[in-house]
Amino acid sequence: MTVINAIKFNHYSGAMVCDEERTLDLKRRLCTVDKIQNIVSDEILKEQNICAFLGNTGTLSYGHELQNRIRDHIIKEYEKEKKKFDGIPENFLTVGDIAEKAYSIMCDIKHRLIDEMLMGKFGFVTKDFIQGFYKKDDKKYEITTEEILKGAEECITWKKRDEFLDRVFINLSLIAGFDPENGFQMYRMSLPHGLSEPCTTFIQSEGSGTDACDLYFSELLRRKTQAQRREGIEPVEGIIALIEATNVSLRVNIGIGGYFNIVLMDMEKERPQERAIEINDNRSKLAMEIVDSMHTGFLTEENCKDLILRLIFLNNSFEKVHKNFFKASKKPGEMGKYLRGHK
Amino acid sequence: MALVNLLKFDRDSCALVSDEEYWHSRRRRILYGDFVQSLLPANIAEEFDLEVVYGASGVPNFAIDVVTRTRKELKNIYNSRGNLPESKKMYRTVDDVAQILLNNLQTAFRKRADARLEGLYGFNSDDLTRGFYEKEGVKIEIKQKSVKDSALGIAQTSKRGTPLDNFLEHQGLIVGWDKEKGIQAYYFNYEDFILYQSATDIDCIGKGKDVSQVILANFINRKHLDARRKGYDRAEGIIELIASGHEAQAHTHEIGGYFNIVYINGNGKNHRERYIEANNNTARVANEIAIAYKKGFLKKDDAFSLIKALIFQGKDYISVEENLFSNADDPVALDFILRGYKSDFTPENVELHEGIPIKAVTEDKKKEGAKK
Repeated sequence: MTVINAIKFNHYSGAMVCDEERTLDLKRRLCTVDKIQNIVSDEILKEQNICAFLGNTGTLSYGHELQNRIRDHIIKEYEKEKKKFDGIPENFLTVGDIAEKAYSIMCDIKHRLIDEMLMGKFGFVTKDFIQGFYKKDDKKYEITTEEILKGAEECITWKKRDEFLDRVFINLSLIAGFDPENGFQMYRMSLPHGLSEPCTTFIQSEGSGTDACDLYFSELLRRKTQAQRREGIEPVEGIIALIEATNVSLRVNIGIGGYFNIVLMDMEKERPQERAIEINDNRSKLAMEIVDSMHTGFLTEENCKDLILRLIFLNNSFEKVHKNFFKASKKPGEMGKYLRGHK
Repeated sequence: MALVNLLKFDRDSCALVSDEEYWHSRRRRILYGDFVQSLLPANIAEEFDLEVVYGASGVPNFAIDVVTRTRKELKNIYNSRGNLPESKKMYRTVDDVAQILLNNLQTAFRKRADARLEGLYGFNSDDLTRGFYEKEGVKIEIKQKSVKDSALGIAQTSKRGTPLDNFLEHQGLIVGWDKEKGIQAYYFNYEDFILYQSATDIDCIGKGKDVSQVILANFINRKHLDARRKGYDRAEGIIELIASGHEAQAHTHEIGGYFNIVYINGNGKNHRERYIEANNNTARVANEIAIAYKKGFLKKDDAFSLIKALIFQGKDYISVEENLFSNADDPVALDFILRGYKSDFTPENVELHEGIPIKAVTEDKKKEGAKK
């Protein structure tokens, strides 16, 4: 249970936001998850001006394996390319290529998990089921028993719902990133729907918090013309929208909590190390508070934008923004109480 | 789902704490629960020297159904004094009220099981017991084995299947005081339909009970037998009770919002003194005092006296809140902790700002607080 939101600001930049809560045994809350991971190395970012972050919602171990494998794959592919061209290649993968590969790894993990389960239960794996037989000690066994055929197919295709199969199938991923050929893009990959596709607008939400976020995003989109939607969204307005949607989700959805991880990508920055940054310390919590205070009427929109600009984009110190936050408040005393959880 | 925790202080006093979060359709967090409710109107409690509350976890609609039925029946019995049928007797003790509530719990369960059976098969659990039902004057035997098996499962409420069976999550604590036996508590769950008398000083039901039990057990385990027999300090007890709720909320889903703190004190002269509910901002400030004390921002004496003022002396929460921050070792850091900042990385070098409710302190103390 989680929420992962992504937004495109313009051709060169965008952002992602997620929470950090994990649910154990359907009841225990832990702020332990690092849900959005950089899947492109610093070397590739520097030499190819490509960046990509992947956020996974569903099973933690599944997402972790996916993130590690796609990152390893990209790094190895780049090493191969460098060897092949004996230097820095002219171009490398697009974000779309990365998304396709990520989906293929998602499927691969699914097949491995299902195969392990089938082997334990029936003594054969998916490919044996498809070909209709398996071999054991060089002896061929036809798979003909109706109940076994039905049981195996239900597992492979998720027709049967149980705890294990749900954990395998209920995984969705969101990739946001930039490549020089196509600019900033977002892709979603869904195992339950069996698809990998580019996102159709400048905002995308995945996870258990999606229903609440989508309500907020649909209001935002309603205010934008088609031309504006094509262009993207002004970065400060965009990050406020992303944080507020995640705030809404934190309030009304289950399994969302802790600090947000705010990932900013801006490929127009001169220094490669500034092109992709993550804000997940106290500044992230302060950003959540600033945006929340605007939406509850303690701050004007103008003040909120100014504070977020300074905190997130101009790298002002926490202390300075915090001071200005309370100074800008219409009712600092009441706002202080509200932020402490008072109604 | 709710959390309801109980701590008995001594023979005649106890307190309960509950939250207000419920997951609508098992996914939407809504703060609308009212999980601990008094069963007796003030005039009856006054006349009979009796206090009884019902704390319930599970689906709120079911709990409200049970509480409403029980209140109505208690009122009817009271109004029919001197004219009661043989099957009814006037209640005078917690035991009496608990029995009435148990009957209503069983009735509410049966009503839901019957509604399900009527919807699926057109007969109810009484028909199932006798093996036939009647429709338009025609007797129809219930013979199909699969129908009987399924209907028995529903009638005996033996398992949960769909969200329609949410009422089967119901658990309850009946807690009260009467002159004869002092504080008594009973535990109920749907699986066996009986009341268990609570034998210890603590009881926890609901989603976070595993966490709450650890907090309250740690408190109890620090006391030797003689101390337990004499009873616990009420302010300390309230703090531990709130802490048990707060920790459960921090670590468990489906617990949230403000706490409702119910304090029953049999030594009170009248209902008003015997039954005290602290909710709304009072409960929130009480929670903040407990957090501040547990995290080391408040000294024991200060924390206890703030709780006494807030819960037992009925002081207004605004003045107590100001005293909380004035007495805190580091009001700025406390403010951050109460706002949900991570305690290992509380922002430093932040000045005492206007949002912190400190009025009755000198400038020197403000500076001192800011320095820390």
